[in-house]
Amino acid sequence: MHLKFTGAVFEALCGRRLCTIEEATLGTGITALTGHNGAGKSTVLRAIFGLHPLAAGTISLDAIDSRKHRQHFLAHAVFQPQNFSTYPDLTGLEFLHYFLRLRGVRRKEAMNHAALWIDRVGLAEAANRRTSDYSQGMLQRLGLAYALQSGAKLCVLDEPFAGVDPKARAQLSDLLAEVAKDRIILICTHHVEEMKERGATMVAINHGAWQAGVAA
Amino acid sequence: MMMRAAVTQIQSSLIATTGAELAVRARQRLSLLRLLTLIVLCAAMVPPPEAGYAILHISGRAPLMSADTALQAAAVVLGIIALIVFGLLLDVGRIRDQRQQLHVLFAVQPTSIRGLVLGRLFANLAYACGVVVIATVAITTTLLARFGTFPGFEAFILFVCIVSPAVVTAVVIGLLVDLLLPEQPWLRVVGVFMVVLTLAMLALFSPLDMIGITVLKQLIGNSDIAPQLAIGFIKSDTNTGFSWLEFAVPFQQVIVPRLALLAAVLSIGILGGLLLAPMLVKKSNQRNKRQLALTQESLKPSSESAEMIAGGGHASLRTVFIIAFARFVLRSKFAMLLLATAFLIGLLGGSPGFSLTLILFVPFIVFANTQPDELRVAASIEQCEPALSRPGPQFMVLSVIFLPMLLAAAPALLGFELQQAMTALCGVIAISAWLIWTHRVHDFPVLGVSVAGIILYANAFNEVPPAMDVLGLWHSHPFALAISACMAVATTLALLPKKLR
Repeated sequence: MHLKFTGAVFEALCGRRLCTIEEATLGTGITALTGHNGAGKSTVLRAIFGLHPLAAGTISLDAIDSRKHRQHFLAHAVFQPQNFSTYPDLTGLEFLHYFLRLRGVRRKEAMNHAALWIDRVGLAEAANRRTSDYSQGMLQRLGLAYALQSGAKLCVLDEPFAGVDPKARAQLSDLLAEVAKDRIILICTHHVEEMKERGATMVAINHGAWQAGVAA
Repeated sequence: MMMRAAVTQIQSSLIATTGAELAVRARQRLSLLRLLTLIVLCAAMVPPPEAGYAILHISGRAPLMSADTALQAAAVVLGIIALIVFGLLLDVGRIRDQRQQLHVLFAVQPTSIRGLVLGRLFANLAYACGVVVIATVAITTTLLARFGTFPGFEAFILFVCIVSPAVVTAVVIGLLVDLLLPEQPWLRVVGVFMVVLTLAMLALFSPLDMIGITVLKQLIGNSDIAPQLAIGFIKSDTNTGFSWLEFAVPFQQVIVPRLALLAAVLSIGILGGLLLAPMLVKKSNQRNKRQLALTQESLKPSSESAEMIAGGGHASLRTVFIIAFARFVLRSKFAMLLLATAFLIGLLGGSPGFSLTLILFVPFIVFANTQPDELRVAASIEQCEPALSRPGPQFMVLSVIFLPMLLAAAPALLGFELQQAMTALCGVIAISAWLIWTHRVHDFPVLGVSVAGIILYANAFNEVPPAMDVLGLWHSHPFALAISACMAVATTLALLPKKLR
């Protein structure tokens, strides 16, 4: 199981080159993507899912090209965007259930799965409250549950710890480390030390270059 | 095998979407307000026999009303309101997704777009039908209290025949507008134009009559009187006898075409949605990218905005006027076209009410064209945005909206007596100002303007009861003004963004 970048060039919409990845392969486990503001971290993550155009090159998950076979790729990948938002009028549990059903999971299975994951991210007590009542930290937890519950091979998380208190952040990091044993977790974060402690592979985008083993 | 998996996924997403969207609609804060408005309007349109006013008039005399005829009157009102309220206020699709930043989540799902669109359509239908049932119960209860008897079964059949197509059409239009609104401006205008055209057609052509005017027309035609027919309400100059009880008789020849129309509208809506949605969704990413690219470009300040910024943020009157004009008029070519058409209709002798109502839709068209993403396109407009929040520029914006309206509405206004024309003028200014000051039009252009549209539309066309006479066209009674003021305050509070409260 691997995510492979081949000659991938990422540009801002105005044409400014942000990052080039000649050749890189990410395997199972956590890969923490770091870089200064504006380095292009979110752009790279968005480009994996076709939300941002790829100027050149390819990105593939186990030989499934992210652009040529997008639907197939999306069936095996999940993206938690920055500023994760929900339907404010749905409860946390309903939201998770809905997105599992959109992926074709059967009703009962989806309900059980959603209940399990909302519990794992520490939102069991708030499961039946509307998400409009959730704090930023709770929303981020829900976002993590949304990403992990799908069981996708590839989980791409854009700043999942924004607004999460340190204690909860440590819990969620542990959870990530646990599920990363058989999944590729690509996470964009500024909490470098926490990721290092959990054995994450560090990658930095520095002056447009993809530098493995380095934290910005 | 793959085929079966695809069908299962569509089925799953369809059922899940219907359930989730229905829950979202039912729990929306505005749902209750919408329902209450609907019931209050319907009840208000069925005045008690001893009331000093009546919707159905013959030479100023209150007609013989029965529970059956009142039910039909309520059905027509419900049809009109459903068409406008549900067609335009169902702000629960892709527009909402974009506003709540949920579109990214949907864009990265291996989801069947067809299931998603169909699910939303079914949720709309279920919600609308639920509301109609509740409204029907409220109306019949009102009728029971007023007339001491329930309407007859035949009257109920006619009620359903009148209301159903209107509601279904509203939902289908809502779906199409929702699909079209976030897309290209010209498609957005087509969507809005469709709504306006439908409303106009309702009044003019019987084949597209979805709220029972044909039935009333036939009846009145047979009754040997010469009524002036407006949408759903009748005024007559003659004093000849007229049996209103006849209204309760359902027409077999009307029921079948009406149900056929229902099926046709539903089919067209579903087909249109299914065909358009994947194409639009596929293209939307590319379009968003282009818009973002333009935004990047627009960050370079123009000479106008640079001049304004250099001047400490105080825009000159000329600058603000140019911005406002560009923002609300030049970027709305279709609005200008509609304006010119309405002006011509007025000149060529269209009825004052019709002309005025068309004009009142102009702000709707204009605001529908000025969504925030569009504002980012032009550099000077983006840079001068802060200036538009001040009272001075707001006044200029108001003028830019109001003056063309005044010009085009002139034939209609001239048709009124001086006092009526003046009150209408004040009403138009007040509504324009209300639209601008509530600001909600930027976030919810369809929502904000359609609320005003309902009031204006009802007011311009019909001999409304005092409580509804916002423009003061028909009753200049202090009670009417007080009620109107309360309505304005309530709707403003409901629509005003939290940050401005």
